[in-house]
Amino acid sequence: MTAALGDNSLGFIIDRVDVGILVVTENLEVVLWNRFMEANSKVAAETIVGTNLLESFPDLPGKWLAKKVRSVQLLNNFAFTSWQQRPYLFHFRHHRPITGGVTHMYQNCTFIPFEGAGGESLVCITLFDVTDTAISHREVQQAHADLEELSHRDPLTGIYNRRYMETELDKEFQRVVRYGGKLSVLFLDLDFFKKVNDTYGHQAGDQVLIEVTQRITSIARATDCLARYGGEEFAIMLPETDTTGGLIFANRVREVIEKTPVHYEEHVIAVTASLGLSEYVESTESYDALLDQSDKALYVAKKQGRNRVVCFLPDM
Amino acid sequence: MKTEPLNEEENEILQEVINIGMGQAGASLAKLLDVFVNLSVPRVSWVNDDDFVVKVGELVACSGESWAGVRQAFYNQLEGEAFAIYGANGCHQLSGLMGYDESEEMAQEELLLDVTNILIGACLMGVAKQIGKQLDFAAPNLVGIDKPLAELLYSRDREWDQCLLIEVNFCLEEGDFSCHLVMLMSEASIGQLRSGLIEFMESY
Amino acid sequence: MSVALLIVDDSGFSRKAMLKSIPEGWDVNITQAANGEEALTALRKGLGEVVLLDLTMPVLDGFGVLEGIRDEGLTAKVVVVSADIQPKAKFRVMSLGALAFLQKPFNKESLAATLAECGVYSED
Repeated sequence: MTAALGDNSLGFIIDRVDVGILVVTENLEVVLWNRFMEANSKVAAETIVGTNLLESFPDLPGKWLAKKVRSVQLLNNFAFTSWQQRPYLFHFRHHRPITGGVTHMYQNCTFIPFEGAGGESLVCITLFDVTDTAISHREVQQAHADLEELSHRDPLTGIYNRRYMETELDKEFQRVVRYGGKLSVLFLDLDFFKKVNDTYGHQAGDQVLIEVTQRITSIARATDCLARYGGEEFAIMLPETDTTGGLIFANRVREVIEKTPVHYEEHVIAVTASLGLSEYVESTESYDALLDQSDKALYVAKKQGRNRVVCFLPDM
Repeated sequence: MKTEPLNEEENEILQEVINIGMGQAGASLAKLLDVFVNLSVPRVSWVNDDDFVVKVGELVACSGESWAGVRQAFYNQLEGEAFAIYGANGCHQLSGLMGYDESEEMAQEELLLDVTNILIGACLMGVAKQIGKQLDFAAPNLVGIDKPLAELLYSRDREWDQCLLIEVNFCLEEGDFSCHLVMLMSEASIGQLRSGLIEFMESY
Repeated sequence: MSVALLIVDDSGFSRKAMLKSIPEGWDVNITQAANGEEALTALRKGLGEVVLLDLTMPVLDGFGVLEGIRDEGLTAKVVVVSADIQPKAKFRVMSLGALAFLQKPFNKESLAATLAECGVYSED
C-alpha cells in the first residue's frame, strides 16, 4: 500500500470510517478509539486512551477478551467473532429505535495483531454494525417457520391436512412396531353432506365443517392428531388407544355432532356422522393398511344406516 | 477454456507445500491445546461438481452419521473455500481441551469457529507464504452441528465445473478430537497456484 | 570411505531437493526410501550410516522408523527433516535418538550446518 495520503489523511479516515476501530495492548490498555466507538459508547477518546478497557466497560467479557487478544498475538493470525454466536461485544444501542424490534446493536468483530512503532504487541479490533442483517435473518427464519406450519394445515378449518397426518401416522406406526404400545385410527364422514351444500349453499357447508371440527377438537386429547382428509372426511390418529378407548371416544364424537346442530344465518342444520375405527395389531402390515381398515369400517357404518360407529373386523 | 489439472510434478510440489503449511497449522493447534497432534499425509485430487461430495465422503471416511462443519472462504491471489469437518464426539471435548471451564462463556459453536479459523489460517497462510502469494480470509461460519456430510456440503447452485480438492487431517493423540480440513480451490486460481509452485521449486 | 546415506521421504520432490542440497564433495553412497518400511529394510542391509528422515509418511512414519532402529538395535545417525514443527514432535524424535531436527523448507546452508553440528560431515 503506497502512502499517497499523508498521516493526517489516514488518521482522518480511520477516525471517521463507519466501523468501530480500537487498538489495545496485550494488557487491554487502549491505544486508539475512533469516532464510531465514541459516538456509540459516549466515552471520549481522550478519556479512555491510556487506560484499561475494562475500567470503562466493566460489563465486557473480560476473561474471554483477554484470552482472545493473547491468542491472536501468540498465533499471529486474524480472529473473528460473529453475531450469530456472540450477538455483541460492546452493548451499544442500535440505530433502528422505531422499526427495529431488537434491543441492542448486533456486531461482527475482527481481531488483527500487529506490531506498534516501538515493537510492542498490539491488537486492532474492528466492530461492524450488522443489526440489519440480524433483523433480516430473524424475519426469514420466522417466515420459514410460518410457511412450514402453513403447509401442514387445512386452510378452512385450521386443523392438519392429510399429508401431515400421514407423516405423523407413519412415525407413530414405526414407534409402535419397534417399542410396542397401542394405536388406533378413526375415520369420520359427515352424512348427506352434499345435501347440506345443495340445500343451504356452500358457505353453510363450510360453516358446518368448521363447527364439526370444533366439536371434535373439544373432545380430543392433545396427543390426538386431527386432520381433514377430504371434502367432508376427517381422520383422527389416537396414540396409546385401543379399541375400547377408541370406541368411547368415537361415540362421544358421534353424539355431540348429532346433538349439536349448526346455526347458519337463520337456519338450524342438523348433522350426523358415520365413523370407522381400527386398531393396530401385530399383524397390521403398514400404516396404509391401518388407514384402509378404518376406511372399510366407515363404509360398513354407512351401509348399516349411518350415524353410528363401526369397528373394523377381519372379515370386512 | 478448460483448465488442465496439475501434472505429476506439480502435484508432488503441491503436496510438499501443503505438508509445510500443515506442519504450521499442527504446531498452532499443539500450542493452543498443549497436546500432541498427529498429522496426516496430504491428499490432492481434481474433482467435478457432480462428484465432489462423494469424494469428500471417501476422504473423511464416514457414512452419513453426524459431523460438525465450518466453512471459511479465502481470496486474493488464491481463492476458494475451506471446510473443517469435525467428528461429533470430539467437538464435545473441545472446551475442556481449550482450557475453558463452565463458568466462562464460550459456547461450543464459538469454539469450533475459533479452532477452524486457526487451523485454516495457519495451513493456507503456510501454503501461500511458501509459494509467494497473497491471501486473505473471510470470517468462518458454522454450517451445521450433528448433521450428515451431504447436508454440510450442500449448495444450491454450483457455478463451477472442476476444482482442486486438498485434504489434510489432524488427530489428537488423546481423546476423540479429530478434524478434517478440506480445501477447495477454484479453477480461476490454478494459474496463480502453478506459477507459485514453480517459484517454490526453483528456490528450494 | 564412502558414507552410506539413506534419504527417507514419501515425496519424490522432497527427495530430489535433498539430493540437490547435499554438500558437494561429500563422499556418499545414496539410497532412497519412500516410507518407513522401505527405510528399515534398507537399514537392515547396512545402507544407512547417516539417515535424513521425514516424519509424515504413509505405511510407517518417521517415529516408527526411530522406534524400529531402537528396538532392533540398528546403528544409524539420524537427522530428522520435517514440516512437523510442534515442540512435542522435536522432543519426541530427540528422545528416540535422533541427532538433530531440521525444519522444512531447508536449504543447502542449513542442511550443511545441521550435518556439521552432528559431527556427520565437515567441510574439510
